[in-house]
Amino acid sequence: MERKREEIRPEGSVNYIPKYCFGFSVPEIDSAPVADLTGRLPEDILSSIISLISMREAATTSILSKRWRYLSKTSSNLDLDPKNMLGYFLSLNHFKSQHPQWKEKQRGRFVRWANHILELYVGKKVDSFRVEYPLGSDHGCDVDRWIQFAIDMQVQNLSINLFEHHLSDLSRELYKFPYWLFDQAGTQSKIKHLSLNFCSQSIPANFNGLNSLSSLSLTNTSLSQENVDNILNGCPSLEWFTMNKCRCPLLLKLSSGCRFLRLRHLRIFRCDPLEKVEIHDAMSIASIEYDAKMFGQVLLKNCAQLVRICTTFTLPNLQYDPGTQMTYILGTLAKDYPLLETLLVVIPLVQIDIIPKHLTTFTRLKLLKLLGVRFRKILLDLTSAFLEAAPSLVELEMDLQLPCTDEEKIEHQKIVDGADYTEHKKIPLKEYRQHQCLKEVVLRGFCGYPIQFDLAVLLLKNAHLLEKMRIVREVTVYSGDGECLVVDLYKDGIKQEQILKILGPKVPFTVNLVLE
Amino acid sequence: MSSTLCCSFAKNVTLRSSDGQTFEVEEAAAQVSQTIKRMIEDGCTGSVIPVPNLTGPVLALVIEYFKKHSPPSDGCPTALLEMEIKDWDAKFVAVDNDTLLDLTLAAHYLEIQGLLDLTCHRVADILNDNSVEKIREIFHIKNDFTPEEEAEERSKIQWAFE
Repeated sequence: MERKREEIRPEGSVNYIPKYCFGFSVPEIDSAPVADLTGRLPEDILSSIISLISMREAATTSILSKRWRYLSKTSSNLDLDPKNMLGYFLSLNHFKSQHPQWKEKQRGRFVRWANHILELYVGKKVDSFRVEYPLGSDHGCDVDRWIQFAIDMQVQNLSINLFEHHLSDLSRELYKFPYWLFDQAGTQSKIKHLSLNFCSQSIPANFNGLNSLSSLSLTNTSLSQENVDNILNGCPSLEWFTMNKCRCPLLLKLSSGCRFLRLRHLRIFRCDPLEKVEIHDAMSIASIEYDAKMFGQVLLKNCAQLVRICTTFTLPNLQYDPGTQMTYILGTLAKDYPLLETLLVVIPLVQIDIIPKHLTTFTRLKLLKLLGVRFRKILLDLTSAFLEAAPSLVELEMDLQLPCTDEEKIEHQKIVDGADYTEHKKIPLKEYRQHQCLKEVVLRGFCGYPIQFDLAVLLLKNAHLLEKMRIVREVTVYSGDGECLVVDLYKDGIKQEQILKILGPKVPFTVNLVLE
Repeated sequence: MSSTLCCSFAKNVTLRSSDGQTFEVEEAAAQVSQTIKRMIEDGCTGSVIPVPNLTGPVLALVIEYFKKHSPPSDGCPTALLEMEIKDWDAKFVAVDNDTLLDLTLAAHYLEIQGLLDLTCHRVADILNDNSVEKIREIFHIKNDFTPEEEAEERSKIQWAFE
């Protein structure tokens, strides 16, 4: 058992202190006053160090000494958000429930602070400029000036998030994003990534101020077909396009008239009442993220074949049924997209209790991620169905956010307290198909439920080529476009020693078990 | 551990520090440094490559870094190896502050982006985690403001202390 632990945490050089290697000794700092250690570092290095810390901490370094006075005012990342202003996160729920006068006072305070920061700024170039505060069109002039500042500073990465509450219960007028400022800047605009939340879109026709833009993310706004046409025409370099919670028409066409789209990645998430999307002439498109309610409704015309799909289950209601969506994934998706190599399935708050009988084969699928898995009863069967449908799968990642019955809670507590868990010996392993390609498995949200051990044992026994199994306590919440938030939901979960005690004897010597 | 230990087949280069110490290192490993890579490409391999900005002890440390970060001979690094290197990196920069800044400068001179990122992040962590007074103490930064100047500077960033 001890030997196994060593394998888990390779600590070949635990006591390695670089200072003493080769037998040299680094001179000790004596007690006499010594010169400023940072004096040796050139300003551009100090400046890049400053850019790594939060604006709030960076500001305090300006009183270290005369040399440091201006350094913090040259940071290439400006994050104008409540965390930097106040030192703590702003609770939007709290903000929302306050009196309008109080809100106005807070907004005024934020605007004054942001203006103060920009007045003191002495740097020449800003790479990343981010504003995050619930402001509306009343403060439009201020936000316009900040954006002009960012353009003057050759910003590459611009993010304006004025989110206050859901678009549907909106009473205030949205801030109108000043596309015309970029038109003025013309070819000088270096902006590559633009992310807008709670800004109204009125990109003009024949706009050409965003020639270098490669990624655009729009959240909580209204989008008409005309808006989308103007965006695709006006941003010829656009490769990533994201629409989150946007109000869209029933049908959206993505095309750019006569020329090809450079689009490689498209995300459409919870856009209502959108039902159907047509994409024309996207010869480089490789990845799409969309809601499961749109299965079969994303049409690619004269486009490349997709290699990556991410889909989020639509919350069950009268119109949409999770069972049908799962049937599509296992029964039809592989036929619609035969070149698929990566598949992410996000299943939030959805219970599924049937497994589709008819499976189609994903011949090329290498990576499968099942996130937010809650179906406890059919966990083993469904995992097995996916493995059967994807014979070339190399990597499987599962995020298990399992609810459990009272009975299981008692069992779980026993396991956490150190009881041995032997039930997994009863899993009818022979009933499950074996897998001949799978090399790596990641199980997240592993907190010691019996079913989680059953799943781990099933994979250890039935995946013949398995090389590595990572068992991670934290869960991930997929936030879109390849990014995840990590959440530690199960702090009081099982101890690693206990996982090891139960699973250790099941791990073949060819498999590297990593506990995190 | 010896600085002259070398493999029988790999091609080696010799590096000389500002204080005249010489170190032999595999050519592939030394090319982690863009500066040294260029010198090797320009044909400096026959003779000793001078590294005048680094003292012996610092160069020795940098060579340790080279060895850990040289591209593996058998293709792509595995995920496990990457994690191990990350672990190693964290220990590598857990040194006294003087050495840390030496390494930062060395990474800058020798254009070793990975090491520069690593050391800059370490310095940033120190700045993040300590009060102004403590940072002055750690890096021996002399407060050369007059009381009036400091008060004026402080008033500009009053918000950061609230």
